Amino acid sequence: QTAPTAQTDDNQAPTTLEAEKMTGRPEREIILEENVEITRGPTVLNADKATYDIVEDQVEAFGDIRVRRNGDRFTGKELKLKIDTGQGYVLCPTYQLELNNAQGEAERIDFISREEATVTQGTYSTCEGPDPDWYLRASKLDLDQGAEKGTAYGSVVYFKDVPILGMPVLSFPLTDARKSGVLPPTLGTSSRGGVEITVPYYFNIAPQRDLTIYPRVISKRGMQLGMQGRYLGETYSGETRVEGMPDDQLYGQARHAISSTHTQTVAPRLTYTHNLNAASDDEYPNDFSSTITAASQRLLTRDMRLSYSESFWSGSIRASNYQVLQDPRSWIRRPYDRLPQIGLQAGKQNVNGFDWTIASEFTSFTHPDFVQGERLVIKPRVTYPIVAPGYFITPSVSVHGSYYSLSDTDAATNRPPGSLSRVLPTVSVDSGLIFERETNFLGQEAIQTLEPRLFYVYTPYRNQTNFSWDQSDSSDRLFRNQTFDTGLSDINFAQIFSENRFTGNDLVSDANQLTAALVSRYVEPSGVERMRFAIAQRYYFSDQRVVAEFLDRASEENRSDILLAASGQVTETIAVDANMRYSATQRATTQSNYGVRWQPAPKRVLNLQYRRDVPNDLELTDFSAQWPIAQRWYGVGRVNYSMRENKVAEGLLGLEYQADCWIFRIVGQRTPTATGVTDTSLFVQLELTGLSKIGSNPLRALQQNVPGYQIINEP
Amino acid sequence: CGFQMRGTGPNSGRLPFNTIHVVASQNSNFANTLKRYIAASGTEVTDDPKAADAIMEVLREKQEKFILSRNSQGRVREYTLQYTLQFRVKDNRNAELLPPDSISLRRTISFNESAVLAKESEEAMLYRDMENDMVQQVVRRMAAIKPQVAAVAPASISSAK
Amino acid sequence: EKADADLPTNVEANQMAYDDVKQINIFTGNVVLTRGTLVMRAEKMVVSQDPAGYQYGTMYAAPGGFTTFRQKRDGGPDLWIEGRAADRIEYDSKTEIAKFYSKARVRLLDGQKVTDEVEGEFISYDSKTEFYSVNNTATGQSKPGAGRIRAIIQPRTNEKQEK
Repeated sequence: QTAPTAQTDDNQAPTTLEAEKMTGRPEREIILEENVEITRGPTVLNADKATYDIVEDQVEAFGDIRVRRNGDRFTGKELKLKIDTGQGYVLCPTYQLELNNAQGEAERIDFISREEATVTQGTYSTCEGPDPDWYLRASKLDLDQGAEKGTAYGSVVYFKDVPILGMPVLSFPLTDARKSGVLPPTLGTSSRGGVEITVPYYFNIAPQRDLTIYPRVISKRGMQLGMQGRYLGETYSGETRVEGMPDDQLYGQARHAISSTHTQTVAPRLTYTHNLNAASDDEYPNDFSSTITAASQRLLTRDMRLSYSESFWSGSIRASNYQVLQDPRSWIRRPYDRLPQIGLQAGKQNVNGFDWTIASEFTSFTHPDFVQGERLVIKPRVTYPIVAPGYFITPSVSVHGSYYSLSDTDAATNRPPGSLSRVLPTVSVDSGLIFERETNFLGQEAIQTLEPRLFYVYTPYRNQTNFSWDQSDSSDRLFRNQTFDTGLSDINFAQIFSENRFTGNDLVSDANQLTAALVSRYVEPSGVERMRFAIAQRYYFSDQRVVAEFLDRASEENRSDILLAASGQVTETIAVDANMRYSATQRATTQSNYGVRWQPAPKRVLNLQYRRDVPNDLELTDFSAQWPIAQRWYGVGRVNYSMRENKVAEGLLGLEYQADCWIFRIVGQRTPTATGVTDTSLFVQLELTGLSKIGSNPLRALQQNVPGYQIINEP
Repeated sequence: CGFQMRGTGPNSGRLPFNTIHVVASQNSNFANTLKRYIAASGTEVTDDPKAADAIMEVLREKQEKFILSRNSQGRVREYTLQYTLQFRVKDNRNAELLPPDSISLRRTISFNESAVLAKESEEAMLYRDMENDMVQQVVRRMAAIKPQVAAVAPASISSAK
Repeated sequence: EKADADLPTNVEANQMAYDDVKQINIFTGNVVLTRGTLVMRAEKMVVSQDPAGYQYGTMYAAPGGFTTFRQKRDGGPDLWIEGRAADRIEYDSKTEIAKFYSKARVRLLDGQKVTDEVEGEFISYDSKTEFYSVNNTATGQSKPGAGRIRAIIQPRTNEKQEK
């Protein structure tokens, strides 16, 4: 596409006419015969016979016509063309455009201007060669190279001469810029819905706004319409997806789901965000596994938050609750609603050496069946950090004050008093040294660090049985130790250096413990951390009585499990990530996972992972890979095999074939969606390069399941 | 065995510039922790980009959550939390000291629907832990920048103050 | 120019010879024929006359040289037409057709600027109907594959402005 300036020279350029025989009248017309070639700027025309009307600057040509204009090429039997305006027509033409080398033939092409042409009864394809693998036949096809957009009317798409898609109006981008257009249709079957076909359509409303519509037909259920809108503005951005099915034959009523996230800077320093999700019924995730509510989301967050932040203090007000999509065979306890939760944090650094912070939070917890109430928590903290390149000592004193006023207490068996309060101080000292030496790691120059660290915490014991209660709800499932928002967190490197065994604010674990750890890293000269080894363990100098009360069993261990971890990029292509919790008392690992990823080249990745979690009764191996199998064929796969139930918990197998102008994908997936319910689905997708550039959902399944997966038609 | 306390050996662990300006969104927890750590390690953090020898720009900060494993009822048992940061460092004449680079860290968190509120705060704790880890990694990379001309200029600026 | 048709013709040359039998005049040596705005030059010129008084002239170019022809055109203050041929130019005043043989070239000029130009082995130009035809062999007939004729038309800038 020559730049516009060349266009105007085009009119100034002289017209050169060559032929074996020429007759004519000067300044009026010239008739050329035999081996005619007319050139004007970038436009060159060859024909058997032509007449050139000088006054009208118009050429009429006959017999074996070939036109080259910039990068575009046309042939035909008869042509009339006004060279300066580019208007005219050509009969029984074939054409080839420079823009993503689209080509086709037709009964007639009308040139509306230098950049626009209308193809009548013609075909369009981006495949090379006379016999394209796929082509689109349309009664009328507008190609607008200026707007880089093509629109086909009354079109049918043929793949290997088999009609696969008929559309009254079909618009598509002529370049890979984001343009409105049809997306690759997806054909699939799923055990929950039968055969389904989706033909998404993409509207590029504005550079920062687009809308995708997913009309989908599911054989056993009926018509479903999905819409996804994305928008990005100066001060706001967000994405909303809505899905609706007016009448689900299998389920017998309308079904819908919505998911909307939005962030906006309402005023300087004041931001509003929301994350709202909802579904029409509990069965939704089972039946529509590949949609908004990913198969496993049984709890849909609805969270709205307004937060304000200044340089040394910030506040937020939030309303949040969850919609529970209940699975009768394995009951989900409905979490508390927090309507509202007001947070206030303030802090100042280096007030002559001291840092102080105050975190406070008022929450009103409501619940249809459980104890309800308000809770105010105030946590002031003062630390005196001594930080130097080689060592650090951070003593810290903090207080955890909480005040409750509880109502509907008769719902709980051991009725806590109407109001509760607790003030507990904590003293902690975190200290560490950092040693370094120059060494090399597998032949590469590196700096190895050795970082011993000691972390002591003291929190006095206070009986907190009142701060959790036994709860039986309407379906009289007895829940013990129900709290508002607290639970024991996993034991890992982050938790082992925190003061409270619990996360949330309802319980404060008593502590008289010392955590010791040793971390060693290999750091490349560029500062990139190549490998990291770590070992840590915590010593309890007195029993953890609050934890014992919470777990209803005495825990006499005076030492925690030993945590071991090793992770990093062992070689250019191999990365390792392993960690383990070893229980000294039982001389066995309580939790371990070992993962290795081998990624020798783009679009080639192999992941192997073994995970074992004794307390949560989980043991599985996970293998996933993307690998070219043969010329143009790529295999994608993931198998998640659970040793406990020795069956494949989750599996995915995909095959992708990349031809020069189309990509074929077939993805089979088996995912458990509820107790005893698994959804096996098979999706077929045909992406015709040039007709639709943007991928659709089978890709999402591949990207989420195979870490390191790369889309094959992207460089 | 050759180990020396950091700061006594060749690698002083200090940044090779005296003043730095951090460009990040207002409520980015990572940026505030980074500024605090840099200030503690002896480099002045200034709010005025012109007065800074180096400008560290947070290009993209992303918190993601992927399903790691499910039990046979299809319920998620473990998530992988991923925190990705893309940043670059330029000097005050807009020359690139560190080309755009991205680091991503991962943590695993177990999940149980019955304790979803507790898991929410545990998730926040893990993200904060990744942010602190990210600060270390970014500071190490900035410390490895070879001091070029930039190191000379600040001397004149600071003396002029 | 039409006005030239009824003006007297005069010819200059180094020698002139008259052949009674064929009733033809032969001029040789840088022959120059002028009639009104029409000027023709050649190495040798043979002129004959029919009983009705119409003249037929054949101008021969010097070996390696060109015989040329230049005339003013109607339709503009300074429009000219120039032609040349490497072999010969035949001019028939009755039909007012000029024929140029071998490497013929006819140019239309607007003052000094060439607006149109045609080159070919043979050009015939009928100044009465202003109709010309060009062929790719000196015989006056086009033979396939015997090379191509070239014409260059300059863009009609002035007309564009008027429109």
